[in-house]
Amino acid sequence: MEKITFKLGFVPKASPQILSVVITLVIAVLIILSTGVSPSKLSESMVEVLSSRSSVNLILEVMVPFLLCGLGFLIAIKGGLYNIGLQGQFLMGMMGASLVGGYLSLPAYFHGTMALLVGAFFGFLLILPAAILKVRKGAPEIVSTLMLTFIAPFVVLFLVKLPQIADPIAGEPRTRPVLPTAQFPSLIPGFAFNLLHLLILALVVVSFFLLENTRIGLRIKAMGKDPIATSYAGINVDRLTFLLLGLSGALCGLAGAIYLLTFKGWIFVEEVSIEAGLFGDAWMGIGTCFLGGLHPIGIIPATLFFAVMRNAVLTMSFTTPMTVEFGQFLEGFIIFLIAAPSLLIGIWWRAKKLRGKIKNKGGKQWISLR
Amino acid sequence: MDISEIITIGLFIRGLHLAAPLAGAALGGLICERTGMINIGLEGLMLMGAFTAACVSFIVYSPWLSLLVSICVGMGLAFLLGVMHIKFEGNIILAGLGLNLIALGLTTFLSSSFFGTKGGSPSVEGFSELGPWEPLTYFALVLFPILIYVLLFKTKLGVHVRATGKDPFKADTSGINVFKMKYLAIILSGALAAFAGAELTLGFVNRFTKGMSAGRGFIAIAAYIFGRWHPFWTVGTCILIGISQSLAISLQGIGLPTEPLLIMPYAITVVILGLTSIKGRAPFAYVVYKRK
Repeated sequence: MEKITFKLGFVPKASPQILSVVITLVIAVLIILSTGVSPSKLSESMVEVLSSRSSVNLILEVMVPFLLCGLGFLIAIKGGLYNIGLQGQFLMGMMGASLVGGYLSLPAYFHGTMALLVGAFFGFLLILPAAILKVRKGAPEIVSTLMLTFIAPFVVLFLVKLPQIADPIAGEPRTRPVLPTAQFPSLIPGFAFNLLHLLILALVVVSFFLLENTRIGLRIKAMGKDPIATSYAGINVDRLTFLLLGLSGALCGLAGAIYLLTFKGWIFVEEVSIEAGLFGDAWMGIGTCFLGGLHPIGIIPATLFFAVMRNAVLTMSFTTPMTVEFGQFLEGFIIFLIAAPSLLIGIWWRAKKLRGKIKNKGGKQWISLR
Repeated sequence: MDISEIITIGLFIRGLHLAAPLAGAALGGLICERTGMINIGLEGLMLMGAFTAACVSFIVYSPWLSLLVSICVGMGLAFLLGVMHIKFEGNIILAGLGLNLIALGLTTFLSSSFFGTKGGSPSVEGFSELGPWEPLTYFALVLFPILIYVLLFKTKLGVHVRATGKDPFKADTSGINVFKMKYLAIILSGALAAFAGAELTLGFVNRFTKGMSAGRGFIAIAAYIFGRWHPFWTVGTCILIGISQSLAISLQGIGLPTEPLLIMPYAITVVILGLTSIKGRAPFAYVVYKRK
């Protein structure tokens, strides 16, 4: 598989990340104009989103899968491993947390911690076959994690419909709501901001230090560049592969657990339907990771941007014909563009050349940025 | 409950019908992977194909014309994906995922403004049945696998395509135009995926609904891996999956859990991957090809 060999700094001169966002916003404005709505609506609703309390809570809600699944993806891809089963691990994490949070009675805080751990463990369980097959047989982890993702919704559906688990008082099959002892109290009154958000931020910082300042981080990055050379250098590549994939799955499971404990409370059948499994929020972890320039700290602004954009489009959908799916289209477009940095850098160079800022230096110099 | 009430001829007819769109998409993915590119965007291409078919058929009432237009749209989108990956050396997994999101968002957004109804289209002109199935089923299950088999294994072009997938560097050295082969494969895969999508609208329910491909693009990936990248085995796998889905519909009617049956294609693919992979030897050269 293609390895990510280019290293972009946090904010390089002509960042493909920023260019893709700019191009997407230009296209968004064009589409909004074509439907006869004033494009200032977009900026207005972006400001509105940041100023109202309910939408800040919505942003906090969306940020959990975006940020933590993005981190899970990043950890794996630094070692050259693609875990594209984020959504399945996320769902399994939700299920694990729900099983502990709604069905056991334990003392406060300990209960929530257990729910988080079990959620992370469920995420780890889902990626375990992929990790074992990768280490033992060299099966491509892209395909196996992708296949395992689609197992998760069916497992969760099967469990939710079981008579022992389904909540008797609800009409539709759903799990029991999470008990108050498993929930973490809000730190700021009125906002859904609690200890778990701090935990996520701490995880981001820890993974930054892990990757940049420790021996194991260096090994991970070396494996991402060239696994064969790394193994010749005496590093146990198999163990590292297993560790990275497991950690990635566990982080996504943790994201699901946090999402369930803080925002959802229970799992509905509709939420795990196949369509939700296909295009759920956790897939966007891949998008945030690449928009953040494959950098742990870079994920945070990328997540903020995606969350604000999604909620801005949601706000717009109340008054204009722009639906939520329009936001989905824009998110997809950003991901599509960011896939080819050299295209974006190329556009940047052409634009500069057209403005006469730089002379023609000949050849495709921008390729060397990668 | 008698077993003969579940296992009927109707079950197999419906199973083969359900297998046809899967087979179309899986053959597309197969061609793409034969040149060393994994096409995650099959799902999105199918969805765009389905939407285009519904739109055109809504205006001109001609299923054949809408099939043609939808195939052209699929080819165009796949070409874009190819440009991102082959010319600009982009990450095809990321681009494919982006394409899926774009397709889901765009089809739903456009269908609400084009048809005026949220989440779907009104009933459109579809194919009339020819024997037990509509004509596209015969294309997908019989004609396409034979054509692709001949193309891959009996022609010079097929040798070039397979050589590109095995080792693009050596293929280029021996005079094969690697870029041309890759573009050809990805455009063909777009055409086949859009064909499969068009069949969903014109051959099944005669209308477009939001997210109607429902994961078939991903099952198609499972199918061609299970079929070891061979057209006949792939279509055979698709037929098996189609029949198991049909069985799931029957079982749901009598209130049995269907989830274990629906998990099967994915779970078996993981097992097959484990059994057949050989460490240190990928089946195809999944590299971004750059001329040195």
